[in-house]
Amino acid sequence: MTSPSLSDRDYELISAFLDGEVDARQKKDIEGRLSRDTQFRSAYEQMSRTRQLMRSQPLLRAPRTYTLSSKAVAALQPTKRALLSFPALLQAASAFASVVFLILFGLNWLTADRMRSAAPLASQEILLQSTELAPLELPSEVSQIAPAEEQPMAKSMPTVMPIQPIAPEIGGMGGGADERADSGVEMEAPLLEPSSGTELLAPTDTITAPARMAPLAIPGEGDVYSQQVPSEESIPESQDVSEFNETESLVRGLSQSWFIRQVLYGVLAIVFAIIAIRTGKRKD
Amino acid sequence: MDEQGLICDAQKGDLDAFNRLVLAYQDAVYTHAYRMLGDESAADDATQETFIAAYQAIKTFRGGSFRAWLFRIVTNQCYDELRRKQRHPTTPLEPLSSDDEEVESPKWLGDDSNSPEESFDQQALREAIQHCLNGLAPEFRSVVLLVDVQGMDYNEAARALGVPVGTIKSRLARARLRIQHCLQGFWELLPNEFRLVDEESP
Repeated sequence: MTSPSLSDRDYELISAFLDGEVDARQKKDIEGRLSRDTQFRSAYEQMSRTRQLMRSQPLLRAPRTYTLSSKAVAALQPTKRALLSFPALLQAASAFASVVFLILFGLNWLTADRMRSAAPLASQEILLQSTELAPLELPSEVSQIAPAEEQPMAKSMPTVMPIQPIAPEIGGMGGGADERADSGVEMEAPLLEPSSGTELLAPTDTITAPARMAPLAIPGEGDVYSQQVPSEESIPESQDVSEFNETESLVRGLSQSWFIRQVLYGVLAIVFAIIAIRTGKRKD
Repeated sequence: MDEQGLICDAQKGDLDAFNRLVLAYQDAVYTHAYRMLGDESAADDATQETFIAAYQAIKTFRGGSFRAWLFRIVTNQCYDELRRKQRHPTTPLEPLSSDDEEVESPKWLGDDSNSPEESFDQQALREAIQHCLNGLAPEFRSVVLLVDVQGMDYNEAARALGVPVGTIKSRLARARLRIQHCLQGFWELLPNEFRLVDEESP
């Protein structure tokens, strides 16, 4: 029984005192307490008997001899190659695949963020370049085309669609309508009138992005657009738009390939880990 | 036996010298493994593995207490085995009688040194102590076995377990106290001189 008045430290001192593992000062303290503290003395006696009982237990006789034969010693040599065992290799492969997966995941996360922020800027840049390189004889508002994602797409895109360079109510990004009014430029009539026989399917407020119009701008195709826009002006514009398309598809392709690699390494890491765990369990 | 000489020879690859060390320590190592694991078969395996590991690592022994070095190996083997048991618990098989009922192994029949009654009492007490040891955490069990059963001093036990002497001191006190409490339930098995409480008490 433990005495409530004795602390763990007291029992520790009693135990060490029984084994002769206390210094002279502690020994003197303990001897003093043993002579005047009955609870301390009782705890000492009980622990002393427990210790004696444990020490009275004889050593067991080994059921056999454990000496090693020269044959057994020779057989021990291949255990050095255990490092190159199949489960060990799988574990290493799993660890490697996991590390690569984590690195790729981190890189993908970083680059995806950059790509996302860079894509609209790149498209703006290309479009601005296109307007600089191929100035149509349009008012200044016309050349200020909004970025692709800011322009609403027509729900039903006609295969044959006349260019509606600018709608009076759109006025470009910078509030061109007001500027136009201030500058006094006449914009009542559209620059490019559709021919009488051409359907006007797209409403004036749903001008599509230049990228969507690019295929229509190929000269010599005989469509309405090519008939209406002078070919020497449409060629550089279509080149820039196709450049924009290439950039966009490159960005998409890169992000797709990153994603595929990420998934592949993830799957690889999981498969290796599962096999390694299963083989490890079998070994146990 | 010149232990240091045998160790030097064993380090040079002398298998006979190593085997003489094995014979000198195998009972102590087996007892420690049995007390740690509470199972003869597991103790047998742990003892075998200990001497194989000791042979493979004997060149790394840099002097000091060979016994502490050897007991460090066997204690680690036992920790590994206990962890393995915890992961994959098993039920020991007892021999079956003709009517398919388990029969306890009459171990006392194998010991002809005492009368069957004395042997039975000793066996019962040994099992009671083992029961109490099994109730201890392995870290506490190993300390009480090294100090009280193997008779190591605190420094040697600390080297064998790779812990500071202060840790040995505190773990030993707590282990002894827990065994003391546990043995209260087996007071009728204890010899008179070892009875921890008066007979009136339960």
